[in-house]
Amino acid sequence: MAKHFVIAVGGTGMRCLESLIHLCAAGMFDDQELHILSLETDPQNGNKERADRLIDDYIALKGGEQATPTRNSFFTAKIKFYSFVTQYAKGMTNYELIRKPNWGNEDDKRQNTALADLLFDDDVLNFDLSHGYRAQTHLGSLLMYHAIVDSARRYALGIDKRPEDDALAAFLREIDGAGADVRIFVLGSIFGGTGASSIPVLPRALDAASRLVNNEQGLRNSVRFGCSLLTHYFGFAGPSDQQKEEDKIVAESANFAHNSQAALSYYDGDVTVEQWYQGRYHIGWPLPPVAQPAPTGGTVVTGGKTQKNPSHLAELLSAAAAWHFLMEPPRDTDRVIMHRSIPVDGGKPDVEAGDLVGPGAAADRLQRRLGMLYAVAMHVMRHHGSVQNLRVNLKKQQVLAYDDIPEADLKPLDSFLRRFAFAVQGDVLERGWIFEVKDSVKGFLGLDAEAFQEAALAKYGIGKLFGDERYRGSEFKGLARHANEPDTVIKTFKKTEDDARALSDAQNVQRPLERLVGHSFEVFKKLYNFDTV
Amino acid sequence: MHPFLLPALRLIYKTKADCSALNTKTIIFGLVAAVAAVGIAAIISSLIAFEGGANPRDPQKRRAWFWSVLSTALVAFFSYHQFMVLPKVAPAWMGYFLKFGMIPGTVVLLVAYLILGFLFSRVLFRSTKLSSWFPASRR
Repeated sequence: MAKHFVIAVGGTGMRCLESLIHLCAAGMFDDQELHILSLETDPQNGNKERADRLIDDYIALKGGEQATPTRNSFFTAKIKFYSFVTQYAKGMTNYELIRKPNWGNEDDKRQNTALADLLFDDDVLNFDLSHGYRAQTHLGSLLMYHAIVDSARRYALGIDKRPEDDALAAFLREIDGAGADVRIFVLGSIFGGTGASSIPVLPRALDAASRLVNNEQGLRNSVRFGCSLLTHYFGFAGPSDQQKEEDKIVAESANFAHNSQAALSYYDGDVTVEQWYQGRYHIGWPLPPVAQPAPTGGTVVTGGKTQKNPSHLAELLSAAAAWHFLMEPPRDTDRVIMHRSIPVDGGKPDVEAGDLVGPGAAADRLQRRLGMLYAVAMHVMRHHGSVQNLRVNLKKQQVLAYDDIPEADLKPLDSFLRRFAFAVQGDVLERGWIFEVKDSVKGFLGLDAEAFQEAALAKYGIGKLFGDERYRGSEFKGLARHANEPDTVIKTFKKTEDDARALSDAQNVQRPLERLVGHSFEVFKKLYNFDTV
Repeated sequence: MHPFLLPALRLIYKTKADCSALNTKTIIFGLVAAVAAVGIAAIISSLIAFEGGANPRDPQKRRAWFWSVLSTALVAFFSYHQFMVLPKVAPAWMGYFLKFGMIPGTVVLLVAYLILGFLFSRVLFRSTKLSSWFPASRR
C-alpha cells in the first residue's frame, strides 16, 4: 500500500478534486491511500462545499477511520481528508488591516505599511478577502505562504490554535512519516486567484511549515511535487459598472487568458517552480471558453455559496494528470516531455480513455471501470430508486449476504452515486458529475452517447453502453432491453453470490457494504464480458 | 400397468392381492406426480422475471405458484383416484385401497413435493429464482 498526497487549491482546484474523487470511486487507485489537503480562502465557496460533501460521502461509505484500501472493485482507495481554510475575519478582512502588524516597534510598523503601499494599489489593499484573492496573485502568494507558516507556528507553539492548524500539521506529519517515494500533486488553475497564487509558493511554504511541525525536519529531498497548470477554460459575463464601482477588484474572465499567460511566463523562470516541481502538466482548452450562467442582475459571483460551477473535461484531465503523476513507476530519465492533443468534432473534443491516462491497460481500466460504475448507478437509480431499495430487493430475492449493512452505511453510497451519475426527483433529472463532464465533450471514453441523453435515459438498455461487440456477454439480450434489466442483473447477482464471497479476500474487502460494492463490480464485469478490468 | 391406462367402469381389482399391487402403484404414482409437479412449479417460477422498484412482487408470485401447483396436484391426484380408480375396485376392498393406497399416495405426493421443493429452494438451486419458495432469513 502506497501513500500519496494531493493538495487542491482554490475553486477550480476543488472541481478538479471532485473529478479525482470520481476516479477513486471508479477504482483507479487500487490498494492506495490518498491524503488530500484542500486549501481554500473562501469557506463558503460552493465548489468547495460540493467537493467536501462528495469526500464526506466517500469516506463514510469506506468506513471512516477504519477504512482500508481495496482492489478490483469500486471505491478502492482509502482517503484521508484535511481541510485548511484561511481566515480573514475579525480585523483581517482586507490587506489594509493586515499590513500594519500589531507587534514590533513603531519603526517596524511604519516600514511594513510603507512596503505594502509600495507593492499594492489601494484597490488591492481594500478588497474583501473573504471570497479569495480575486486574481490578485501577487497579494495571494504572500498571504497564502504566511497563512500556512502562521498556522504551523500556532500549532507548534500551541497558542491560539484553530482546527485547520491541527489538520495542516496532521497532513505534514503524514508526509514526514511516508515511505521513500513521496509524491505530492497540486491541483489548481493558474488563471484565477487562489490556485495561481499558491502553486509557486506551496512547496516552500510546506517545507517551512514542516520544520515547525516536525522538529526542524523540512520536506525531504526525495519528496516529488507535481502540479496541473490549468489555463482558462470557462468564462462568465463581466461585472456591471455598479459592481465595479462598489467592489473595485472583481475577477473578470476577459482577463483569464492574460492571467494564464502571465502565470506561465512567471513559472518559467521561477526558482521554486523549477526546483520543486518534477511533474508539470500543462492543460489547455483551445476552444471558446465554456460560458457559465449569466450573473443575476449583472453581479459577478466572486465566491460564496452561489459559486458552484458544473464539472468540465479540463478538470477531469487535471485529475487524470494527478493519477499519472502519482501512479507512474519511478523514472530513470531526468526529464521527459510528453504531449497529447484530443481531436475536436463539431466544436467539442472527442475524448477517449487513452487521452486521459495513456494508451494500453490503463485506458482499458478507466473506460471499463468508469463505464461500469455508471451502469451500476443507472441500474440502481432507474430500477430500484436507491441503494437502500437495492439492498431490500436483494434480500427479497434471497441474496442475504448484505442484510446486515447498517442503513447509515448505505446512505453515503446512495448519495455518492447520485452525485456521480444522476438522481430522479419526480419528473426532474438532477444531473451528476458524469453528465456535466459529458456536456463539455462530443464523445466520452467510447461510451454510447445515448446513455447521456435525458430523454432516452428512462428506456435505455445498459447493454449498449460499451459500443464494442466484445463487451456483449451471454446476457446481452437481457441487458439491451430496459424492461429485462432487473431480471438479468439480479439473476447474475444470485449466480455470482458464492464467487463474490470467495473474491472478498482477493479484493481485500471486509465490511458488508464493501462486499456489496465488490459484488456489484463482479456482476457488471461478468455482464459486460470483461476478462480484466 | 397403472389404472390411468385402463378402460373406465370395469371392475379390475377384485382380490386383496390386486389391491395390494394397486396400493404400491398408487404410492409410486404419488411420488412421480410430486416430481412432475415440482418440475412444473419450477418452470413457472423461472418464467417470472425478477422485478426492480421499491416493492417487487415477484417472490410472492413464485411462492403463490408453488403452493398453487401443490394444491392442484393434490386435488387432481385425489380426484383422479376417487372418480377414475376407486370405481374399479371391488366394494369389499374399497376401504382397504382408500386406507393403504389413496391416502398414503396423496401424503407421499404432499411430503415428496415439500421435501423436493425445500431441497430445490434451499440447497440445489438456491442461486436461482426457486429460492423464493422457501425464503431464508439468513444464510
